[in-house]
Amino acid sequence: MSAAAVPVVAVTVLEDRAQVTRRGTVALAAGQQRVVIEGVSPVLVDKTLLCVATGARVLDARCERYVAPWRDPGGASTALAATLHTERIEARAALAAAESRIVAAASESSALDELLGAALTDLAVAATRGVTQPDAAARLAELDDAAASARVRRTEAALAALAANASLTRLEARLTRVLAQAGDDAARIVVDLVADAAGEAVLDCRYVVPGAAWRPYHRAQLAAQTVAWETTACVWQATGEDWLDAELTFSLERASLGIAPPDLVDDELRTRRRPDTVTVEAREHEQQTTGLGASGAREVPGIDDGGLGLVLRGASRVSVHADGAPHRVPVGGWSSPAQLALIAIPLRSPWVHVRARLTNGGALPILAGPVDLILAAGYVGRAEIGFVAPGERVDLGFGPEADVRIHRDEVRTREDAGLLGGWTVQTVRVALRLSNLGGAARDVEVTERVPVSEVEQVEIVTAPEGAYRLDELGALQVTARQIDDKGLVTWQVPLPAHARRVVTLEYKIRSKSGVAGV
Amino acid sequence: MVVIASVLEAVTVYARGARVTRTALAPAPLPARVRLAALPISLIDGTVRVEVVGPAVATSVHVSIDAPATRPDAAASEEPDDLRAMRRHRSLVEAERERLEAALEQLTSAPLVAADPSDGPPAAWDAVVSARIALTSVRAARELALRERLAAVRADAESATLALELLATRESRASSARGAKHHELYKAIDIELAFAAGRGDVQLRVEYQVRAARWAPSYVARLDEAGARVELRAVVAQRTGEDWLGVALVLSTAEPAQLAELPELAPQRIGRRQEPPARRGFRAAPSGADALYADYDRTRTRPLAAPAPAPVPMPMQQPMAHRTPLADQRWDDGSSHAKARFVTPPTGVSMPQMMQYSPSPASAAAPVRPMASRGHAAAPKGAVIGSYGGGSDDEPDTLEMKLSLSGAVGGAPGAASTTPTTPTTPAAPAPVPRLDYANLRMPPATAADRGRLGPAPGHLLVAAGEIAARLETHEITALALPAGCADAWAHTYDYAFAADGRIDVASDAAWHSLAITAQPATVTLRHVAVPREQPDVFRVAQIANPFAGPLLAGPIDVYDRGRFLVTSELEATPPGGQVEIGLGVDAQVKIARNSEFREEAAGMLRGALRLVHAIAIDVENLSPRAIDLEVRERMPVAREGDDAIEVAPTRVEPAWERWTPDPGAPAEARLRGGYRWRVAVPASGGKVTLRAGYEVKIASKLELVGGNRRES
Repeated sequence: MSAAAVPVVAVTVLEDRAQVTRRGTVALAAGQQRVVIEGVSPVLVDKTLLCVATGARVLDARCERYVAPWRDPGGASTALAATLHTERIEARAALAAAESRIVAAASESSALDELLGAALTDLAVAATRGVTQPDAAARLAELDDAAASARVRRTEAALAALAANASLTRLEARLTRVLAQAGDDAARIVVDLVADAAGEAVLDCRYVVPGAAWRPYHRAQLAAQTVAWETTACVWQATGEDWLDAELTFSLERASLGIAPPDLVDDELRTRRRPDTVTVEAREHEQQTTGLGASGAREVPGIDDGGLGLVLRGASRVSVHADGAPHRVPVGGWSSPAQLALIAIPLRSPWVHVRARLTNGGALPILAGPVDLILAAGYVGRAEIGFVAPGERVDLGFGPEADVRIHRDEVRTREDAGLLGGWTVQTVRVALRLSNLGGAARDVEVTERVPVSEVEQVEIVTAPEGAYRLDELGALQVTARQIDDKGLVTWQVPLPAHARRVVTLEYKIRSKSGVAGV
Repeated sequence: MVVIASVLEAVTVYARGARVTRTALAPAPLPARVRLAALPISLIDGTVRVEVVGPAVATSVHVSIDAPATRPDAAASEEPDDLRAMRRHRSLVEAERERLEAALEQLTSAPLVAADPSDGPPAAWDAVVSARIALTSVRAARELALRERLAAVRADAESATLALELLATRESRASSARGAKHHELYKAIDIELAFAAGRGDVQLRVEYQVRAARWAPSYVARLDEAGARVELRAVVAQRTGEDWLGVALVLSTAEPAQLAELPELAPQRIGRRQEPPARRGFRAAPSGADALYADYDRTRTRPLAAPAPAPVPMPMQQPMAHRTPLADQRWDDGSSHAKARFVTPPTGVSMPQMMQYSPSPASAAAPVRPMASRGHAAAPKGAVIGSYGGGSDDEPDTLEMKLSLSGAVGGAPGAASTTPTTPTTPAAPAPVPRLDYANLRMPPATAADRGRLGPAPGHLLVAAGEIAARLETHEITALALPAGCADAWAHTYDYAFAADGRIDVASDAAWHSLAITAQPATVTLRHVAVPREQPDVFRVAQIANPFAGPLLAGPIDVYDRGRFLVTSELEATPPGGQVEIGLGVDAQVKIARNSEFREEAAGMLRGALRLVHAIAIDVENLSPRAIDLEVRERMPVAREGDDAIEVAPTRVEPAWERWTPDPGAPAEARLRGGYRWRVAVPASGGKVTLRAGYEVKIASKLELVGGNRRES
């Protein structure tokens, strides 16, 4: 039996597992022999273990698990976990010693108290016998001294125990962290080989381990009207073995999607009487907060590559330690010109946002995930992005402009239709007030909307520009606007330094009586 | 990772919260990662922005929460030495006091006369008497000595308690910006740097937001002959955990901006229902990885070392005074009042709490148990602060944990453990930071939630930090504003006011009054008198708002030629608006008002009554300057719709004008019969006489409610 150097050379990371490839050259004698690969992940899935040798024949390969060496008290392990274990034993001993001192001192002081009581009673008994004790005061003082010193010892021991316990608590916390990484178990792969002749053979072992994951993580750097996009794979692994200098591949293939097709159920049709009133709904395309599927928001969502079966390759060999922490591996990038604008959508956000409009200039789609936003050379925050196909346009927010604020006021008045029918008119007046708190001039694109009616029972009448005037001290009103056929109203508002501007919008929703829902 | 020092450069205080800018220098050769450590716990993670000046790019930022480095001997450095020494001293004094009290009680309850248990013949009478006399004097001397000593020790204990309180208060008051101590939490920002071409030092500007800060404006107007100077001041309070020293301060009425997703506005259609477009890119988390651990579980060995035994609540506050034999220690409620005296501290924190202590079950003597738990129950709730390692039966409560973190007076050394308890503790499930990949971890195979990404195990710390930050924020929001100040602004437009100089604000949750900026203003001085109500002439200053922004509501202190005059309330005034401030009575202008009244029968058959009133007002200006005086008068008015009363002016000299106070505030009760004169009164004894008169006509059989004479 010989231990062989068969290191991890390549890893394919999936969404919740990884396929590890170990490859190495082993020296073999002729005949059957056993090769042992130490330091293998103890969580490897036995039935996925596959060993192939060139220059020899593999008879059998299996995984053997055993107690991690650091847990052997006589093993003289120098691992941090072992050292901390020893330290903990010492700290516990110190605590126990302090506790013993407390208990001993407490007993002593109780005993002395009792003695003192007994001595006083004995004095009374001696007096009854007519015996005077000339040194009684001195003896009582001796007892007092002893009692006092016992109490001092008890106090000191209690203070020491408090301190010892505090340090033990800290030690435990550290140990917890270290133990989580060290693991309780270790494993080795045992390979039985038959070689026809003495020589070298290349041994190739593959196996699947859980406890590894990756997610795409992007970085967009905006400088000089250009966005440099970099995609990294964020890798976590706590498999119990380090991947040192390995070639990493990332895939979104799912081995766990199920093996049988789902069942179909009938769609049974029924009728009911049509209601008399027309019910209309004011609906809008709400921005979806990432469709996370059925697993709920408590879990980190999976990533959909649109069925493309993408495989991303790390740019170079990297090392990922089994510490469960995220490691970022660059997997690709591109750059694209970007159009910058300051946009305000006061219906949605009280802030004015920096928007970069760019197209996916890479050959591969952008996979959904977080994006680190970098303006010039600085980090401004993190945003989310969904799936973006190559060549597709994407709007990327670079966070709010800190110096511009917008306030939105909306007043709705309603005149109900009379008894004889007619129109119910709802007047909506919106006032948007923009303030520039900074010393630089800015142009802001403000977007509001008026509803668009798709039924003849409801009419929308938009008042002309400037119909709703607000005369406010120190704030100019901007009236020039554009309305498109979807009802989106846009103003270009120039905001000089420290200036204030106001923008207004007025429209009426006229609905025939009998229309519900508006 | 290199920890670099940073300097607090600028602060913008918003209506709630503040944005702090720090600068740091990363010296060449540039490390790949730098860390700004010991940042306040109230830092809001998502608000960190980094700017780099120099040949590098900040590619990633990660905010983490951390307890300071833990060394086994760190307990020593948690408290200042003087505080620790004083704690020890007080514990010893308290122990001595307990001993003396117990000894005294023993002495007074010990018998003077005891029966002789032996069967021997009784002793001679006079020998017994003289022995008992000797015993009495021994006991008397002992009692005197004990009492004297006890008095001294009590005095010592009292002064030690006071000294300890003083030290502890000083310690907690001392600004929290001193740097994180071992029992405190702080945040750190890790910045990854990518080098661009060229090498050299790189300057980093790091911005982040904190919650615990507030401000409110106040004003000072200094009037003199030439005009006025309006100073904008502000009261600022913060408990962000770091002192702002020499910072450029900007005060803003806005809400702080936080990084938010780019909003999208879709058309609103009234009509048929539409399916929302699906958000592409995400799908359900993968499942089935659990099954992959089957082989591992089958052969998995159990850990050798059992987890640390859970501490049992077992305060060692065994009463020292009991005299029951050692073997027979039982808590007996009926006879335990004397003991309870030593267990239940009178007020504050006393010796028993200090000594509250939880030995492991192995070393705890079994008979002590019932007594100890009784004693524990007798201790007030505050005692938990001084205990450790589950001195309470409750699960470790993070809020309580923070309460101990905040440095309560009674905190024993190392009492508060900031480090997370063992993972076996069932923690409240923390929300998974879904796409915050930097804070996700893959749990090890030994963990229960292995195989799927979860929050970093520091989440207990995060919860503790969150609570710490919330407490700090609460300290600020609960802080009462100084009299007259207001920080609720009508949000239409927002404004920012920059301080002219560098400003210091300590992180002590107290209001600091700061001078922000000052501007000369044009001021118009007028005099106003209402002689009907008060024979005094008031000076009123009309000040034009000299600032580019508005004057916000707040108190204004008015100084007249260097003399403090009055504090009055300022209403919100827009840019370019005018403020009127009353300056008080001008003693150099005299005003006198005299009235005449007579009744005359009038009308056909003398059926009507005319009530004739005449008013004369004399004004004399003794000051060396001519003044513009406004004299306000009123004429009675009939109730609306009442035809029985007629009021008509008679002779008015010089002409007056109608006066309606504040036409811009219709909510206020409108004065209907107001009139005013505006006259110039010459300087140095100039005199002006104003005359007015009116008649009230009623039927002769009527009289006016309140008397026919309307002027006094």
